[in-house]
Amino acid sequence: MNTGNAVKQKKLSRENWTGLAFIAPAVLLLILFLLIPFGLTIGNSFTNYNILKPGETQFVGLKNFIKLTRDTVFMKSIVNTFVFVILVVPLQVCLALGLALLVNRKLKGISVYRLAFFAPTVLSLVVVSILWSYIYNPNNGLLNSLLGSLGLGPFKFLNNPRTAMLCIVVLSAWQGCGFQMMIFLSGLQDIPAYLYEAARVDGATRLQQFFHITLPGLNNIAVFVSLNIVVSAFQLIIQPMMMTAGGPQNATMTIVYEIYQTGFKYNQMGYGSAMALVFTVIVLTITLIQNKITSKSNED
Amino acid sequence: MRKKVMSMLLAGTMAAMTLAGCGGGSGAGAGKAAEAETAADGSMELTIWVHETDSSDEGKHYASLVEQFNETYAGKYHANLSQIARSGDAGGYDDKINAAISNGGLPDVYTVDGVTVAQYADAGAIIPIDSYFTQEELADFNPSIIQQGTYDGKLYTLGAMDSSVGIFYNKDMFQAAGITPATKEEPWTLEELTQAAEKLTTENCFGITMSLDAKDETMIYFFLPLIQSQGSNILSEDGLLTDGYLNGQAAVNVLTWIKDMADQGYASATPAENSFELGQAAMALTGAWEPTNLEKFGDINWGLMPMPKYDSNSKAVSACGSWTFAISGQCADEKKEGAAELVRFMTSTEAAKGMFDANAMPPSRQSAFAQIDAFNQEPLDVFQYQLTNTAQSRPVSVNYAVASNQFATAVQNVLTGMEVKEALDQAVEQYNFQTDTE
Repeated sequence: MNTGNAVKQKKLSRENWTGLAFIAPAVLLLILFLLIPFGLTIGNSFTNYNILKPGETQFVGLKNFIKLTRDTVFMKSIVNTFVFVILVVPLQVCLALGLALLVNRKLKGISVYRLAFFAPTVLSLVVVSILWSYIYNPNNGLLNSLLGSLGLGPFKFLNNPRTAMLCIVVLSAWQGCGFQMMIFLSGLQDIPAYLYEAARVDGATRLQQFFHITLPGLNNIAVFVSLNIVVSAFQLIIQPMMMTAGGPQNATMTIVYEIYQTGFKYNQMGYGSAMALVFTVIVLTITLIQNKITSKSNED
Repeated sequence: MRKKVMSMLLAGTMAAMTLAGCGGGSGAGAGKAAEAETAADGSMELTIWVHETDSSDEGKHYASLVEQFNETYAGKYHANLSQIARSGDAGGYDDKINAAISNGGLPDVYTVDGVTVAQYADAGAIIPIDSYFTQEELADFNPSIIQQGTYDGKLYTLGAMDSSVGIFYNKDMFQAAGITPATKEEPWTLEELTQAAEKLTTENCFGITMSLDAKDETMIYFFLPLIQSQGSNILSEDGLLTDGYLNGQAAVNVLTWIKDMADQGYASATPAENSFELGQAAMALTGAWEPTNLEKFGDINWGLMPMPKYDSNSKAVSACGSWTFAISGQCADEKKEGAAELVRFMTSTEAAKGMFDANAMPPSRQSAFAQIDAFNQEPLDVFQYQLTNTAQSRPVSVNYAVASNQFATAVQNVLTGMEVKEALDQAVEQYNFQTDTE
């Protein structure tokens, strides 16, 4: 990787302007929609900026951050977000991989299945959340009707602080896994068939083929997929907003939801910015750690 | 390589911050800066924003009103309408207003939700309008419309429509159970309602559905009247304190009752969609939008009772409040006269009557009530009676959004097992924390 760069260095300098022109739109957008807002957020987090009273904004130093340390709901939302990430990432990766293995066959009509598993991804999260609220409903809800026919329930899934987050984990994994399934699928189809043939000749069982050919072959894809899921999982907001409003008893309050509520519902942009900054640091730290771990495992 | 990237990123961030620092509102394109002050025919240009697009009947009504305004005042005023969609409870429209407050792009007149009047007035985003209206004009409005639009002793907004909440009931089920419904002058007490609900509850039918799974403004809209019925509120008179109000005895009483109704199984804490309309609940505590909904189902023989009062010693209080029109704080002085004329036009008797035709909501003024037959006969006369006699607006407070949200959270917490007093104390604690109230 590094040696390749050195060789190309000379050539690049001649093509510098073309190259720059090509990346300019992306960089501009990045500056406009990422770096500037990020800079503004840092600035705002040290003020008492109220969205309705921009004229009265004052510098308040670390006041917002000191307030954050006393904010029990924000602390709870950090814990909840981590619980969600820890539960949803393995579940979603496994689901996606499982589905990819299932649909990676040359059967008649397999594309119908691929489409069916992929479909939830294209649905709006709002729609999916409302749909699942019906499914979880204790009165005549689909899930409780099923359990009822087995003589169980009814359970108030979303109205129980112990199960509410779990419900959101399940529906999120269901909604998201179709997309990652497609990525896994393309990875599966990239694994050369002769490896399997050779394994079969050597007498490897299907399970051995899976662990010694399929999994190593998907390593890079798995890293990409899990990174992807982690980052999007941290941004959980729509499902609790639609289904539980962060309740019951703050059991499903997440960081981004709390930031949204503080900034746009209570108009406290300054305080909300401080929350956002803390959130950024958390996600950045985790991504860096993840990067370290995965780059190490790639070198092995 | 990596170092280089990092330093470039850093440089980029710094450049961005400098840009942001001096850039201010230069990027604000949605403003009215380039607009001509006067139109070709010499009439004064006015701008107005509303929260409904022309995909709804209400939105179409706004559009046709502005058209009529322009015809009526041709050569004098000309209003330009922008219809902006709302998305969720604080999306689209509200975002656009908030952005416009910062960058100076507010229109001359815009619609404001009744409960946000205090916030916008306090921020100077809307201005008092009392001086543009005569006492006789204002006397025609429902008292609660004036109450909702008044902040710090001054009137800021007027609306064309109002809303109300009552108990819709299934006449057939009432007859079968031998229950006599309450009249509009004599509402039930909570005890009477509970007894009726008990009688009406069967294995497949709840006594009453009260949207207990709604975790939003609905909770205040439905249940605040029961607190006000006991002479209390969720906020102090000045709209700043919740201690002793949000967690006061009156609120404790109401939440205890809600919890009992759910615990006894008379009302579902997680009602199924349209349970009243499908005959799975004998009564429904809900608002003036319900008849439109019932029309879609059709085969329910329904009646309407007024909002119950707390007990025989308390007064009858009902909910009210809806979207209103206000003159923006950024409206130029020479345009204020015209903007007031536009507000007057948008909230006229005709406008209010047309609003009923568009979205079936009760009108904001008595003269319009008189012209709409539906409100002068059963069952909807209950709403007219309530809006004329018993309606009390929600607190006009700069901190209303926080208090309301905490109330909804408390109801939810109580329904999921928390003690009533604990839930309300927590609500007050959170309110104090969020608003920096000591």
